[in-house]
Amino acid sequence: MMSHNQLELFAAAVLKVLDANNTQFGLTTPAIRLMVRQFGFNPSEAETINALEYLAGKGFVGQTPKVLVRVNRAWKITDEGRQYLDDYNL
Amino acid sequence: MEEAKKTPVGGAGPTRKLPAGARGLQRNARARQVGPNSNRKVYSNSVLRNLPAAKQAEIIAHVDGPGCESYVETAAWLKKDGIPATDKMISNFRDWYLLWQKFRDTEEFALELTRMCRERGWIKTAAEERAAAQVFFNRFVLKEGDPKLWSMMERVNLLSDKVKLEEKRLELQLKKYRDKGDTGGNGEESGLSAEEREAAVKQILGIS
Repeated sequence: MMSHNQLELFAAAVLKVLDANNTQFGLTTPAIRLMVRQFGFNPSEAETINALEYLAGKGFVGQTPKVLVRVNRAWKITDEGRQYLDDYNL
Repeated sequence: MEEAKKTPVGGAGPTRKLPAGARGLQRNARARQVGPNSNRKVYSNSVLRNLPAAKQAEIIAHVDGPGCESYVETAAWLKKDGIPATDKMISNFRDWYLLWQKFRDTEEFALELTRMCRERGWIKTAAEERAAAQVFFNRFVLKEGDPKLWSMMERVNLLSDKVKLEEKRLELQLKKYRDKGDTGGNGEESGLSAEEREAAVKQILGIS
């Protein structure tokens, strides 16, 4: 269970991973979970999905392509997400 | 005249008739032709990410290369070149660059595999192509970053280093014995007879 501060850092780490993905493909939750280890996190599937849905609510990440089944969701950063990283120099 | 108005420029047909997946692939292929950073928003305050690709690779070589310079040293080196950089900037840049490189390489591999599937007729529609490429991409990302695989590779590397060290040690031992032989050492100088010496060498080599 992450503390509020850890959640903040974790959300930023997720954004950083998605920011580095400059390809045409989105990243699925397992791939994001694996990549955030580079930033010192070992989140559960649920924690990762929660963070992604929170960031999606903020408009910082989006699904690509739109799929019906939740497990098939792939995520990409939006311009707002990049702007956030830029504004806070993350 | 009206017909001329309806005819799209370029003669390839109206783009809106293409499936969504195909449009996306076309657009992204066009973006890739321009350069790796062409389809991303440019950071206003990101000094290092806006540098030419060659310079970026040079920075990574400074940090991760044979010299293994620290972030502070690399920042100082960049400052000498007139690039305002701090150690934190270098650290952030390195994190981003390594991930970016991994994703870029994986994308190429996924596209290559998708192309092969299309050529063999396993993939028929643009939607299928897009979905397959997406799946390949994520599978390769997971495979490359698999900690178990990484740990196995590290273990193999360690064992290989250990074997090399053992080989070197044996070579030195053999050289030592040979030198003794060359200088007229017949076993009496070292206090060992020829048989004893042979047994010692065999023991070192692990030959029974």
